[in-house]
Amino acid sequence: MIILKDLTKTYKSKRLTVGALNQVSLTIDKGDIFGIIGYSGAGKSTLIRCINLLERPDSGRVMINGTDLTALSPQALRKQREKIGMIFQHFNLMKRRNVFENVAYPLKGKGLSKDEIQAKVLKLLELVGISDKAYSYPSQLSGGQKQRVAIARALANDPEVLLCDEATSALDPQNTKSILSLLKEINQKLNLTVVIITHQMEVIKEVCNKVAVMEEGVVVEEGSIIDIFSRPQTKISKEFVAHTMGYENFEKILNQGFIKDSNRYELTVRISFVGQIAGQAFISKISIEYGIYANILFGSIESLQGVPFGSLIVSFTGNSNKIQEAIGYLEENNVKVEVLKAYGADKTDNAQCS
Amino acid sequence: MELIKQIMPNVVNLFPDLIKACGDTLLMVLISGTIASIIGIPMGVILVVTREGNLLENKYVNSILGKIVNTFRSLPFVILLTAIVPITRFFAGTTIGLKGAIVPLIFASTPFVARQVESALLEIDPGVIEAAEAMGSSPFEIIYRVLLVEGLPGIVYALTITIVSLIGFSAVAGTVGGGGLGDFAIRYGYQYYRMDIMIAATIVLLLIVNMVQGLGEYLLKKLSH
Ligand SMILES: Nc1ncnc2c1ncn2[C@@H]1O[C@H](COP(=O)(O)OP(=O)(O)OP(=O)(O)O)[C@@H](O)[C@H]1O
Ligand SMILES: [Mg+2]
Repeated sequence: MIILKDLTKTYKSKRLTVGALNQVSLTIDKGDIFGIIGYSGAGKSTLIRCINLLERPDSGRVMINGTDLTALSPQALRKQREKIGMIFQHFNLMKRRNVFENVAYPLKGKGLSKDEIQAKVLKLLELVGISDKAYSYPSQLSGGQKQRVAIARALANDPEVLLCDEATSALDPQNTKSILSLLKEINQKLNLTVVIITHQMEVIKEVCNKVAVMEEGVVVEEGSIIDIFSRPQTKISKEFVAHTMGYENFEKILNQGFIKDSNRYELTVRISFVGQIAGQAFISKISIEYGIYANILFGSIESLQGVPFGSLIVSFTGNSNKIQEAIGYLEENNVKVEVLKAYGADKTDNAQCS
Repeated sequence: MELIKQIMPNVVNLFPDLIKACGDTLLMVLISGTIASIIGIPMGVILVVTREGNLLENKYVNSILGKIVNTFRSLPFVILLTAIVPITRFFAGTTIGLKGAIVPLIFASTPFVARQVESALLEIDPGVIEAAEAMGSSPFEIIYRVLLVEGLPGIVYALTITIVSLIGFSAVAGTVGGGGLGDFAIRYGYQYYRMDIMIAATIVLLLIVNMVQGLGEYLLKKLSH
């Protein structure tokens, strides 16, 4: 378990002070694949580098399995770092060592015999699916292959945690997918806790079970991936979700007020369905039972870590009380409802239903 | 052979001396180059790792060492040669001949090696060093298992350049009685207006320089992946 407590980091140069982290606290459970997402400059890299203290926070604590890393001597910290693997956007392999030697690097001086090191490296290369390249040099590998080597190297000392700083940002979509599924595979096989930094919601949606959203050095929102996708609270999370589900342009149009009839109460909501719940049936059902019009404006389905996740944007018109009742009914049935826009004569209870 | 005798009569007569001078030059360059590398490479490493934000950041060490290196680097070799005469006498017991030339050559080339090695090591991707830190490597381990390994082609190239410039320096040292090809050219050639001696000495120097350069580039290619 990783506990980050009140991490604060300010970069000071002669002219400029940049607050990279501001009182960041997070708890990451064992076995999580924990995503941290934010735009460029949000402080994500600073945060992940604080976990293994490549960057020392000005204040706050980093606890891993009960050990406070910030309180350790340099030697003790190095010992702990062996149990925290890390991979990087640009792979950071040693050019003059071949694949085998790169993976063997962290195993030297650990009291292992030559044969033991050899066996271990070959096993790791097999795990990441790159056994045939053992004697190639990094310059002879593709980006995806390099990242596999980097993963093997990061796993050499049987870490409990794997930190990934934009590990797929330099890869094409196909390689991104295969690296992400490799991360997921090792997470399950080795019961490894994985922390993933990214600016792409696609990455989060592919593998993470939990996500924290960062903005200007602060974690603004945090939760299970289903929660964030079905009920994003902050503007930035809404943007990320809208982008991923493909309705960001739709929202723009909505905000310009193209479907507006000011004489009637009209409520536009996004309804999220997780797993087996069938969306369409609910809509026709409430339409009939509550006597309201339900106009489906947009629908899409995505897979969140393999679980089907559907979004419908529906515009309800009719009696505002009836609409509220209908929404209540949906929520009772575990259908998440997020209000996007309310128009019209009766606006009294807009706020409640969000 | 007859032809050579006609064009370069003195060279043929002094051939044994030319060979000896050649050997002396190689010896001077080899000894001073070796010692300069032994001192200069660690200095280059220190210049890198004590930089701001680096493994063993230390403002004071970095700026003092940097200043010393710069001072020796900015002195023209001829001036250095005379300026350090007492030091030369202290270490070599003499200021002339092969022994007398080696000390100033070391003084001239060590800072050169240090700066060249420094810039070679600065070429190494900081991300690689960071990855090693993340794996729990100590600064010392990073120096000899990352910096010196990843930086090897750069270091080899730095030493090549150093040796080439040492050959030049050694010729200058020769002119003030240091022995070697420079000495040979001045003593038997310049002073008697024997043009062929000068040309022969120059050609031999050029050959040596080119061989060293070629070897260095070959190694560089071989070592880089
Ligand atoms: N070494 C440093 N010195 C000064 N400022 C820094 C340093 N590292 C980061 N910063 C600043 O701290 C802030 C957070 O940077 P950080 O690299 O953590 O962002 P990020 O979320 O990882 O961004 P990106 O997605 O672009 O990688 C930025 O404003 C950045 O300019
Ligand atoms: Mg970053």
